Amino acid sequence: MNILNVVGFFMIALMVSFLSGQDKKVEIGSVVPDFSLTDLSGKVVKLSDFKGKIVVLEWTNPNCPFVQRVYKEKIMSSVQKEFTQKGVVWIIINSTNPKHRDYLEPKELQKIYNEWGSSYTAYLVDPDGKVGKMFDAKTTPHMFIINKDGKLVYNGAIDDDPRGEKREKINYVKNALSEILAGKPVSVSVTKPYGCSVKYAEQ
Amino acid sequence: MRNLVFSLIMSILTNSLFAKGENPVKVDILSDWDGVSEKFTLGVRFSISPGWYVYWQNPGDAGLAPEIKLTSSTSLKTGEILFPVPKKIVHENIISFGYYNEVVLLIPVQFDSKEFRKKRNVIKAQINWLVCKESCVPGKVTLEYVLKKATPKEISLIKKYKDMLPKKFEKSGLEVKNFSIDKKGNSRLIRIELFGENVKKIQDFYPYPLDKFLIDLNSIKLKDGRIEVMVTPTMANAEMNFFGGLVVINGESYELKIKTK
Repeated sequence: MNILNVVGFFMIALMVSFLSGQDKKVEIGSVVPDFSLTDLSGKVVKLSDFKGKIVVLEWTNPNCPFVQRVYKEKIMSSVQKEFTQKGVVWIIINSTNPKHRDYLEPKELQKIYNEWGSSYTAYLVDPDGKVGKMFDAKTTPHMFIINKDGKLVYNGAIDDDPRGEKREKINYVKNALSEILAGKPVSVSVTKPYGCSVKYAEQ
Repeated sequence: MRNLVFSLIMSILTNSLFAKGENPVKVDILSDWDGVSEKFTLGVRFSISPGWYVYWQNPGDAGLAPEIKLTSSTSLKTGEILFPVPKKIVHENIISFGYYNEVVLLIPVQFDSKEFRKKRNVIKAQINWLVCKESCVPGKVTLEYVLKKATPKEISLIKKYKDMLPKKFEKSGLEVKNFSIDKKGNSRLIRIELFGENVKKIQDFYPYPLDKFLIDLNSIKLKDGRIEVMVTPTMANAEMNFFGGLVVINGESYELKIKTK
């Protein structure tokens, strides 16, 4: 075996390892791997910065009518406000790729979400979709909840009203957070997220 | 004040598409009523701007299926909406099913009173949809359709879309050999084994939506007549009574429905 064979072997092994890592999706009950993204001011924020806390991840795109509606009707912002006041970390993630018409610069995003009364802990941008794909985030909005042990305990929709026409809605995120804070297991841990597709970059 | 600013931002965002002259969907109603029968097919036509699409009954990973609610001054019975075979639309890891350019959703209608011939029959349709391209725009409209004898053009259009409905599974040249659901962690692995002359020609499978399970469309595997799909229950002790979808063979789609209980 010459040196070229050895190098080739390790290159292939590295690629296989890299690709299999990419394919691994975060599943309910499993510990969420650490990730880092930049916030709207360019500061690097890691998931591990919030170790030991309950963390909500909210995938978003302000040009999506579903996102607009859940903010307009305060479905999202009321839950953000209630639970960030109770110590829950709320991270908004925008995986819109910079070439997409929905892409907005950080300053514009900050302005819109401030006007919408959003109470996030951090607003992170994920232009290459790396973290979005790790969670298999499909829609905006798409919600994930990580418990104090760092395990994923909820994956799905904000509520049970995709058409925005129910008087009595079940807010899955509110219910799950209430259960976690009460020391109970999350009773509904998977729902079908609804909304626009996440605007990932075409590979 | 905050609400006013919010509304202004929303208005700018949602109207930005229309400011560029884009009005992606027009909806109208037609029928194939022969002027005599109590039974006929009502069609709701979506005329869609190039590049945009509306969704199938299973929108897929994102989007929303169109919704049609019919009422009438004359009592009538309506069947379920019949959806023509959709296109599979893939963007990265997100799979959707929908229609470009034009689709006519069909609804079987039967007036259950003979009185309907003596007066003006008006059907009111409340329709809502989501249309997407790079971005998405929701739409809704309430239309009133005065029942009248169909024109040849209407009859021809309804027939065109009836011909685009999925075919009966019995015509596929396939039979179900085996069906199983196995627990895999939090999920369930559904396996359908088919046999018959076209078993090697199966190209794809478009599942129907499930009430209590989330379908992982990226998990669908097809090999030698075997269809595998991973689904995840959305509630404890969720039971599946039905599983189905469209089996695509040589560009034709056949409707597979399996009672699991």
